[in-house]
Amino acid sequence: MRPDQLVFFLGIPGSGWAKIDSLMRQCKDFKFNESDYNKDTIWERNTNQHYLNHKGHFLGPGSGIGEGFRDIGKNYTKESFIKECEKAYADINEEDNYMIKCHWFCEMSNIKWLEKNFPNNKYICVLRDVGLCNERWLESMTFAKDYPKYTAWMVKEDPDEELGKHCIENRTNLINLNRLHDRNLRSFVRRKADIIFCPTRYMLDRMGYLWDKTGEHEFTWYNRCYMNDKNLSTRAPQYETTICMMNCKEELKFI
Amino acid sequence: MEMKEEQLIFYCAVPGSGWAKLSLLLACCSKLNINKSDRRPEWEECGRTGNTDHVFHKGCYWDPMREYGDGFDDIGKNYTKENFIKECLRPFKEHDDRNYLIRSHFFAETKNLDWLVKNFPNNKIIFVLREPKPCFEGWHTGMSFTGHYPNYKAWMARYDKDMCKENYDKLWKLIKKHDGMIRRWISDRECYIIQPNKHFINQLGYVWDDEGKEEYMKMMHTHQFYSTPVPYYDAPFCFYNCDDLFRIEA
Repeated sequence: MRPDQLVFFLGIPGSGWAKIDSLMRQCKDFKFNESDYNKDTIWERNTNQHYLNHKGHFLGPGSGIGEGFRDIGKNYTKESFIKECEKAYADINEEDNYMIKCHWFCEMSNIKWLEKNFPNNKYICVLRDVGLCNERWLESMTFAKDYPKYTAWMVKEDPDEELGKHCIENRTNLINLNRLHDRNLRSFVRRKADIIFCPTRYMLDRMGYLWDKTGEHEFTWYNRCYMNDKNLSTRAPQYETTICMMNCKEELKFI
Repeated sequence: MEMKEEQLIFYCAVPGSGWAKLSLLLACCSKLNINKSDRRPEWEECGRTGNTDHVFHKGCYWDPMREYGDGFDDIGKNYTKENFIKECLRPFKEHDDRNYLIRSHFFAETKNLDWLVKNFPNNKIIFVLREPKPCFEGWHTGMSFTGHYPNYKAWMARYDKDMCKENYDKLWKLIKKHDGMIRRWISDRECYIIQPNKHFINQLGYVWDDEGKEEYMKMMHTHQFYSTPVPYYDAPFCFYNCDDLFRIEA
């Protein structure tokens, strides 16, 4: 894998980044490799309230790949970091780009390390109000019983954990980490983002979105989960998640 | 020189969205080529802060119960196409090939947006999207109904008092109504929703002369979107019919 084939994907838990990842994979101008999709990395839960669909790898501590990604500069050289990222994919070739997703990229030390070692790579970030992110994640996920695992956000074992019921210590830790990572991410976006936009159908078209069965499914569910106003009096899209891109001008076809 | 109707760019958002400051950024973008001859010293407003370094209203605003756009609550009912164009052009002193940015909150009415698209199918419409709650709080912090330019009489329920509960209730209801109308209208149309960061305004040909620097710095230093440790990015532009602003490769 060449270094420039890595596309770094940053977002905090609850931001809808997994859905945005699925939308981005449908944007064929990016040529994203999908060989990280297999029976172990596709997970779905549909409750009355939420539809969750996590596909592909999620790197970072607790996930089996990227265990040292809490502090990349301390634990990896550039070469060993690339090797670690490669582990998520079954097919490595010279044509495709490889989405590398990790919440822990939002550590400030990691952002600086990535910028220094991969200054010209593509970066895609997802921004959403941190309060909404916390609410969303805490009511729809568990730390240790779903895919991907969020054990790195835990400060104590919680065998009685259920969906929406987390011990106060872990809950507080997730909220604190989200606040920190959100601030780091927004600081990075302020300095580096070429464009910050909402994924409307028109914008996705611009990046070669494939409107096949999968494409329609992903866009429909993104809309239902992150666009629709809960307020029955308006029933209007909220456009509350935004995508920020760095070094992606070719795919966006902006000057 | 004969005016082309495509020179009218319609601009719309709810009160408190920051649209006025954002329109001053648009006016510095060469690709939009905005005519600024609607500006007058008496139409400059710095709001309740009283800080004259932070003027955020410049130029004309069209809306009901104002000098311009009094019939904009229902354009189709109150104007012919020709009369509407005249009303839009009335405050401008110079007429040439520059574009006219016509700013009205009441364009948000669905019947008005539909009328605009029917009568001006090739014109640009630019919106600013922002959640109603921060809009209401933002407006409340900076403006009053009658004490500052422009007036917000059309948002008042009673005219004997300025800042009273009945007026704030009506303002809140109209903000929510118009916000929903805008969002529903754009939801099935071909639009780009993009945050106005520095890189993006450069795409629009932002001119970094004295005026450009001043407007940008005012935005960065004073506006609630940006004068925070990290930006919220909660007030994007929504561009309709603006494809020519963005280069599309073959």
